[in-house]
Formats: sequence, structure tokens, C-alpha cells
Amino acid sequence: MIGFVCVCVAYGAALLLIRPRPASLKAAPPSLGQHARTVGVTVTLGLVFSTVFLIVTDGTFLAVSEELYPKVALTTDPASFSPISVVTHVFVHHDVLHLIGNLGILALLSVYERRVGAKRFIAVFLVASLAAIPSVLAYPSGTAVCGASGGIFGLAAAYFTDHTNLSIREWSSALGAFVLVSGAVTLAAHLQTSGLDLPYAVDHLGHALGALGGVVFCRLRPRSAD
Amino acid sequence: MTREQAHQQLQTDLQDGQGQLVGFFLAQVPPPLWMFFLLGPFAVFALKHYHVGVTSEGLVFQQLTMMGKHGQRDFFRFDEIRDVKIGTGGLLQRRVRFNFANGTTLKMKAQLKGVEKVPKLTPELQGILEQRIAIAS
Repeated sequence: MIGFVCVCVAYGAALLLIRPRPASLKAAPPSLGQHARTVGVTVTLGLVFSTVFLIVTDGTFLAVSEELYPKVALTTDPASFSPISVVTHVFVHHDVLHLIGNLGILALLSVYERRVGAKRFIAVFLVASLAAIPSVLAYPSGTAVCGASGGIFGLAAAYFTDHTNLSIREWSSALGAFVLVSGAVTLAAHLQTSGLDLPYAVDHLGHALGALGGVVFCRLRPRSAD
Repeated sequence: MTREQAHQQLQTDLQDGQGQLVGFFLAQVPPPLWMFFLLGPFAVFALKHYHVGVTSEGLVFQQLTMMGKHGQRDFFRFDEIRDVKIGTGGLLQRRVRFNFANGTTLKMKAQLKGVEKVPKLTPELQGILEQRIAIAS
């Protein structure tokens, strides 16, 4: 429980107390309430992820319960599959390391929410999460996938590519920049965790599909110019 | 965006009463040091670039997006800028600090040297800043 409180407090404090200067030099710095509204979805998502993790870990906040995991994770095993897992698997994380990693990246992506607003942010997240689902088909039957990484990779890809009035060349450059950064992050995470005996592997295909979903969504439904 | 395109767009975006564009230079606003301790290498995404246009009536601060295109734009008349402090050193960049009348402070590094396509802070532009804006002590 104390882990849950610490994570929530740290996450919320980092997002709410670090208030970047407004884009306009003439605008007054936002109040705490105004700033909170600009990152509301990011804060809410993080708290939801943490709360769900507390529940599925039976209050230990360390690793998901072995009994609950098959019910909430997405799997192709007909004996274990439940339709609700198509939704629940996005909000469940395997262990605290998985959760903290995703919360960290989600916190960074609050800048994207500040740029595009809550509606587009949640739309990109949901589309990217849906786009990542087919990755489970690439693994042996019985493999379960969980986590918000697909949606988060979609948000990260959209952060780079979701700009107005980009030419094809500029959009390609932005996409290339995202691939470079995400590749570096993936490699760094792999190097950091390679010495740990983790009972799970990273769903790189799900990450890629989620990013692709975010990129395609933003390209097909561009933002209106300010 | 080329230098000529940027010049053209800065000139076009000037509204009535904002004067004629004399010149412009590239400036960076680096992220605060503490951000590197918090975000690590991701702090570089907090780096901001501006095209600072000098007109006969004031300064245009045209922020550049990650793709180098023009984004947020602010115009300050010279009387809306309380003072400016321009560093004396610098080989490639020169520190410039603007204190605005609205209480905002902007610390940036103006580009002094670079390839042809980079708009630089020329002695002429610096002279205009020093003549039209009070110099901070």
C-alpha cells in the first residue's frame, strides 16, 4: 500500500508541480488549477494504472496475482480468453517495474496533452492501444500480453508526427526521429534489464503496432491549424 | 525553412504598427540544468529555438517547432521591454537576457557564427537592441 501511495504522490506531484512556462511570452504563468486541467488525462491515466495495479496485485503492489492475471491479460488461449480482457489488458501491468516504466514515459508525454488537448490525447491513446492488440497473435498460444505500452508508444509517435502543415518529407523526418529515439530507449531498457531474471519479455511488436496506430490516426485525422 | 523563407514569413506576419523588419537572428533557450537531473537525456526536448526579428517598432519572438517551422509568435514594442543585457563574450553564441515589462524574463543564446543559412546576431542588430532598449546593469 505504501508503494501505491508513494508512486501516486510522486507521479501526481511531478506532473502538477512542474509547471512549464506558457508558450506565449505574454501569457501569465498558469495557476495550479489551470495547469492541472491541461494535464488532466495524463494524471488520471497514471492514477488509474496505479490503482488497477494495486487491485490486481492483491494489495502488494509488487507483481500481478497469478490467479487474476489470466483473467485480465490478453491471450489467444481459448481456455483463458475472455472478451473483457481486450480492454482490461491495457490497464494491467505485470510488475512494479513495468508500471513505473510506463508511468515515467506517460508523465513525459504530458507535453503532448498540453499541445493537443485532452480529447485528441485520449483518442490517440485508445487507437494506439487497439492497434497494438494484434501483436498477441504473433506469439505462441497461451502467451499473455498486458500493459499500456502500445498506447504510450502511439502517444510518443504522435508527439513527433502530430504537427499541422507538415510536408511528406518533414513528416518522414519526424517519423525517423521517433524511430531513433524509441530505438534508443528500447535498447537502453533492454541493457538495463538484461541482467534481471524477469518472468516476461517485452512485446516489441505491440509497441511498434501501437506507434503505427498513433501515426496513422494522426495522419488520417490531422489537427486543425491553430 | 530557409533563411529567406523565414525572413519572408516574419515580414508577412508583421501587423500594422509593428514596423518593418530590419533583420533577425537565431537564438536558443536551453533547458534548465535541473531538468537534466529529472529527465535525463529527454531534457533536450525542452530546448527552444527562436527567430528574433528586429523591426523599427520592436522585437518579434518567433518560436520554432521541433520541425523548424514557425510556431508561437509574440511581438513586443521596445517600450514593453524593460531592459536587455547582452553578454560581451562568446565565440559561437552570445548570451542575451530580456526583461519584459510584464515580468517575464527570457534568457537566450544568440547565434554569432554559423553557416550561411543560419541567421546571426550581427553588430548592426545588436546596435539596434542597445540603442532602443535600456541596458540592464
